[in-house]
Amino acid sequence: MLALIGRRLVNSLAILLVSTFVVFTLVALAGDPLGELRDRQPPVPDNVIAAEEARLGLDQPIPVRYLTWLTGVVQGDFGPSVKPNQNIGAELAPRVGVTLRLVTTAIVIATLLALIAGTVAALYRNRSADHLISTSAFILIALPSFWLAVLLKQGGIVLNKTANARILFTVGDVSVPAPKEFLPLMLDMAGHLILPTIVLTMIHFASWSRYQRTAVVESLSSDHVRFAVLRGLSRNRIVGAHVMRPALIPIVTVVALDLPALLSGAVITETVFQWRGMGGFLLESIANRDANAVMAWLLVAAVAVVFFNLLADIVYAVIDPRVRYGQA
Amino acid sequence: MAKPETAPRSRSRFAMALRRFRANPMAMIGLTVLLALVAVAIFGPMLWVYGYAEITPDLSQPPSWAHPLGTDTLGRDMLAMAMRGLQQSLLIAGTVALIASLIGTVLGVISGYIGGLVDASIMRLVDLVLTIPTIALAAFLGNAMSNSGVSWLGLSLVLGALFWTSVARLVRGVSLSLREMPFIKAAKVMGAGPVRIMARHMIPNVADHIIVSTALLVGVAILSETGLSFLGFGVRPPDTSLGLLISNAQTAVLTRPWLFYAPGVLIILIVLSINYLGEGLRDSFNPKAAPTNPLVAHRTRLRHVAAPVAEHPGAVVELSDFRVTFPNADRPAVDGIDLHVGRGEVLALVGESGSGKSLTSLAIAGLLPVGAKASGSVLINGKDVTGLNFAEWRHYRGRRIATILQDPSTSLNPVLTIGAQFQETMAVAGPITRAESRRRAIELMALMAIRDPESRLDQYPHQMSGGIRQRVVIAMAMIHKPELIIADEPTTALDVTVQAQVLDSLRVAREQTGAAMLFITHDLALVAGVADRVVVMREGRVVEQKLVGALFAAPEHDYTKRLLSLAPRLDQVAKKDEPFLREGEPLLRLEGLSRHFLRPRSKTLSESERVIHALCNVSFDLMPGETLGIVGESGSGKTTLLNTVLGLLTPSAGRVIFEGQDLETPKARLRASRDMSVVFQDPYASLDPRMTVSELLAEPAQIHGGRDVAQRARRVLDQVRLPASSLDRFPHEFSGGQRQRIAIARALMLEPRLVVLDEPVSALDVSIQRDIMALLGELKRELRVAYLLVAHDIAVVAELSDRIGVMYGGQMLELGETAQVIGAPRHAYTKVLLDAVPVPDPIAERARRDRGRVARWPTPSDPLPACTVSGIHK
Repeated sequence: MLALIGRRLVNSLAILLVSTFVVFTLVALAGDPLGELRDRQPPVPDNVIAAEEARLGLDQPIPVRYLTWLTGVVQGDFGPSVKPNQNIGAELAPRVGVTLRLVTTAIVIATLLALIAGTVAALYRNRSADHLISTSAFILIALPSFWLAVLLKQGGIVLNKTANARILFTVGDVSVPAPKEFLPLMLDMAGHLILPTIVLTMIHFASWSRYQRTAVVESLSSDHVRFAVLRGLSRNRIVGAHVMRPALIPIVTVVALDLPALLSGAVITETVFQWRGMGGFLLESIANRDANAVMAWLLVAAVAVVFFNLLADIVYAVIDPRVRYGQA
Repeated sequence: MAKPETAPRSRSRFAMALRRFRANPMAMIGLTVLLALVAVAIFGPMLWVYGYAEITPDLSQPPSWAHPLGTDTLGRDMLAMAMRGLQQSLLIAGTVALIASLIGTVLGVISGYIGGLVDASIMRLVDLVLTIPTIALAAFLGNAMSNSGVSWLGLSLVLGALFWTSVARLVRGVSLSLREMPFIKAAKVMGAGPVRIMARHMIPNVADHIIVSTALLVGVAILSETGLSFLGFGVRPPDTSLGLLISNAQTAVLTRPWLFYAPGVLIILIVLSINYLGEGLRDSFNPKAAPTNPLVAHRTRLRHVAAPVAEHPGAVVELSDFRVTFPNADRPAVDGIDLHVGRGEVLALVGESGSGKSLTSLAIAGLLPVGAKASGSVLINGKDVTGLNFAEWRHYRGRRIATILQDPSTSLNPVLTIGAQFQETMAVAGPITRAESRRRAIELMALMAIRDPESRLDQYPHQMSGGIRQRVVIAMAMIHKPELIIADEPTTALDVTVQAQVLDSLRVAREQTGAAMLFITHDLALVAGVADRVVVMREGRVVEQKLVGALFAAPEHDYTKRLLSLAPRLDQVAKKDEPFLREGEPLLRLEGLSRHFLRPRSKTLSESERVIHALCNVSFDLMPGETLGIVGESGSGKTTLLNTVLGLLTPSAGRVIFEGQDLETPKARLRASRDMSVVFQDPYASLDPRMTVSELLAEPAQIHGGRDVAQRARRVLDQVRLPASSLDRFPHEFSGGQRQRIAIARALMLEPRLVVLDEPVSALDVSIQRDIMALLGELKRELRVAYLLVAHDIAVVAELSDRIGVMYGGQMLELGETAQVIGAPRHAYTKVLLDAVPVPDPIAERARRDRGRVARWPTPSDPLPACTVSGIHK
């Protein structure tokens, strides 16, 4: 078990290393961070541009820049930003927490909903419960997340207006100024989470529930379920131990694979609800062509993805003894 | 003989898929909506009076006749803008999907087919792309490129380069399983190169998956493109896109809702229609039989007016006038049968596939497939059980009727320990402590002659052999001392020596519980030693019903007589005509052939324990025109031997010499593939389903060059007794036996000197087995071709072979003339193997049981000799 985790960890580190190099090269080749400076009217003196190039390390070849960046990252320094007085690490760190709060809540809720909806749909396959769940899932999958987000936000505003009270928070991840004590702070954060979480959950739970439905339908028609029925077991026992447990593996895979998509969704959701999370940071950095800032963002995202995949591997081993004993 | 062609020409797979697609309303609606939207996107802007950038004097107008979707604050017409947005979105999404599926298909097929290091590198590349949130990189690259004027093409390239992974993973997965398909192996044996195999066999067979995933990708791409545009990193003003329109309307949801809803609804419509279309395509390409749901109780629709009367008062189970029909079937699957099982009696239900025997047994336990309609009565202990619900059935299942299913590798839950599965079964009768359940389980498993039952309780099913698993299943059947045990082909999935042990276990179970047994099988020979009474079924009807002795001594019905005459009898094949004259140069020579595999690394295995000697130091000669039969159980190495001879595996040591040439030397394999061909076990899998018979037959000639291919194809079809009209038909239009004839015809196309036969009849029904065996015998005499025959059934091997080799654990234990191996076996294992073959004669079978089985082999005191060949190379 530990050996398995260790092997995966080494594997993941290797992927991270290669992936950061590829992305670094892409980002470096994609555009000139100083393009805006060069085009400025009246023209900026050449020595200023040269100094800026030296500060950002643009005068070095890409592999050297990558190594410099990597050694910096290992020591907690994400490299110089285009904005002279910005420390990328210090700026990004609190935002990571904000975004992870949203993403993790959404994953947990969406997974639970998908498990329930998918299983119910499969157990009542081709009956009205299934038709209802499947049709709603199809519609939710087709909903653009930003459209849903705007709709909910405006809906929240209307609700607040008509009730003449703040029922739903529609802006930001926490009130300004934030409550000082712990419990009110938590409640305030939870309140701000409601609408963005609904958006992110709705979009992803729908497609996950389809996978869960397929897995349960397949599991239902497997021999061991038939054998369990023929042994006279109760319906609850059959559904719980014989249908659901083997059907958990596909959904774990899908959730782990979908994390990058969730992060993308979080960028959009945060933008609409004006959160100070990773999304805003990314968009701002892109607009400024701040290569190091974008790299820092991508690194955090990649680490999160790798970590989740590792988690998925551990969950597999817990669910399926064949993985645990190295047979599958 | 092949049936004369009377049925109307059935259609190609594509036509059938189209018909299924047209029958799917949601998919058809999706297609219509999508086509309408595409038409609007293409022609709409040409026909509409306003341009998308045109500023009209009507500012912020709600929808009206002049502006059906209203106007924005600058006075631009919303309909014109929406149509332009639609155009952009569809164009970009379509291009993305095409690019992504092109990259994905090429990389996926290469990865899946070539495997090894190539596969590992491509899959790492996939992992790598998957760690990147698409939107971030696309936004950055899109933004960076916008300086150089970002166009729809640039955006499509970026998104396409990020989206190919889903297609690649899917295509790789399908390719991996295709690679192991016999029809791909057959192409390799023919001498086809990798490019030919990928282009002619792999891509056509993954095409439907590619079409479906490309369609679904369009939807994903639209959502991504609009999302990017919404954030300001996709399509830029003054051009417009649906995402950009929504972004502009963010604050106008309440004041000018038309600006917000129109583009949103358009996106939803496109994606929804694409997804329904994609699902419809998937279902029509790969129709799945309605999966069963055993949790839904099957109630017989036709209730009886009067309660049915039991005619056999003592019977545990009694079926009268029982019928099962499926909609769209031309005859009932079970057609009015009457049968009963007396208390403590063993009733064997014998029939070939399609005889309705399994349906009958399922009906007794209350499990009929979805869509089946049953009528007639099923009485258990005189009580009618048709129409019971799930809860009512639980009084019978497990406690009064225990069932043993065919395949022990799938009937136990893979994620629960054996102990847990025992405990839950015991808990059916009431709560039971863990200690008590373990104690009883150990008792039962000891009765089943399972060694070390205590440690078995904490194991999972995959840690045990098939024979042990089936004995665990039998032990579970004994828990509640049932009145009836239904055993549905309980030994079919097992090796013949294991079969004997499992049959012994079944006998013990029956004696301990005093239960009656319904024993279902296709093998009449097995019945002789098991049953008290036999019911023979055919096409849903009972054709004969007799006590076992009477049935074997004096079968009445023609079908029973035929089945009995078809059962191969070892004691009869041993008397053969004159032995084969072995002289001249051997056609095929194996010299110390060995092949090792490595188990994956693990803590519990030392380096030397990781080595599996799948094939160890095997040597023999095969003369031109001779037939050598190799017999062995699973794990004996017979398949490895065959694959090494065929060149599908490289030997670890030793040589394969064909026509005097070592096949490891360059080019020798390709030359040899002209004179060596193969017929695989499963005729459903060894013919490429996307090729017609004439294409299948022409393929060897295309690879090796040959003239008069069409004429030659007609001749081989004639040799295998198929009409020439078969040429332009697809394999799925033939029955199993006919397909095997086509596979044999293909093997004969280039007039080979050696045909390798891999279990050529074991996938076929008994009556068809006989025809194919006869055909192979005739061809051998006519064409003077040599056979290398591999099978698990010693009776089949004995019938066709001049010499027989017996394999176990990768080693050739005995090799000799057929008459000697069958009549006077030298090795202890050959004796075990021969003794395990059931004899279709109740008296002989009972005499043998009283005599006891021959000593088992291998034993701890007389083990399989260790393999001395070491050298591992890959």
